[in-house]
Amino acid sequence: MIKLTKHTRFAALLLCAAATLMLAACSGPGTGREQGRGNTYYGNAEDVETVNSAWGSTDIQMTAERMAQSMLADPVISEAAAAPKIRLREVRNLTSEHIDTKGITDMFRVQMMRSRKVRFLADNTNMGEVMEEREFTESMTRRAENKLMSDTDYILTGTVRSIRKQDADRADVYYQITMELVDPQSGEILWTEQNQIRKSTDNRRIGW
Amino acid sequence: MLHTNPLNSGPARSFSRRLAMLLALMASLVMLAGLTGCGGRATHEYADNEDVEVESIQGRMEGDLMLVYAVLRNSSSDDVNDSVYRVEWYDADGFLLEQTSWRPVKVKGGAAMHVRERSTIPGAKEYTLVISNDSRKP
Repeated sequence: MIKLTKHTRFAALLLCAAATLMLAACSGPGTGREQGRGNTYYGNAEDVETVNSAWGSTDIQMTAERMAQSMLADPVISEAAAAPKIRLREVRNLTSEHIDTKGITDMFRVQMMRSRKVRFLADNTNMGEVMEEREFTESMTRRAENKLMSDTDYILTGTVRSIRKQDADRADVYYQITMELVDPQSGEILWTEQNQIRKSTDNRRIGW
Repeated sequence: MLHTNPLNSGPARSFSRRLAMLLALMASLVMLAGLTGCGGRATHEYADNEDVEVESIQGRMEGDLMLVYAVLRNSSSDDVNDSVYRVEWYDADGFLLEQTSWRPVKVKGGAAMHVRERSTIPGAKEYTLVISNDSRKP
């Protein structure tokens, strides 16, 4: 039997401690997850959402994509000599529920910008920041190019309406989303498109 | 003495000619199969079952954007309420350029439904219409 001296035992202990530390320090890049105890998981943002009949992500996506496809096919855009400049105005929510219509126009603008067939000017949501930056730049350079800011070819407006009906067993909601491209000089409506959505919820339960 | 090549004799020459024709025909068939079977991406595919089927589908370029037009048909007599579809757009190299969100559709029993989708990014050369009728079904 091998008899270990006091120094040998100490060295072995030190070696074990060092190995443990090294394993802990070099245990790889990790899993990239911090998971709690609940059942939270990521879904696909583009999946159809039918939790209830209220306005939802699928309605935003369908509307924005439909509108973008329609406008890109219209000769006002597809046959324009140069990419026209558009300013987003308000899409008014005339329904009884809260709908953030900026969600529609933001997604619409992203789709349209990717096509590179139109240009967008700052709208109400970021006009304040743009004006601050302009004033700063103007004060620094003494240049006044105010015309560029107001040089809008078209403005985009719209409405969201709904009709909601329900009884004890079912609920039905009809959404009508209309968008219009208007020439601000003449007031002429150059393009318009409508998207209609019907959602029904059946509350009946099988059983007794 | 006249020596003749057996292959140049009547029956042998006829056989070799037929063999050559057969080989040429087979080569043509293989090439045709290659052109039709492996000639690009499938125009449509089913994510699960086929309650609603693609009756016809075609795509064309409109300027630099691609338009897809398809007719879907519910071949059964029951309504299909949970069908969804999306269109994927691919560039010339087969890279996914963009895709639509899933579109929910309700197709009445025996009825047809017309689908019209347009790419919004220039450069799409191929497309695939993906249909998922109801993922809960086997």
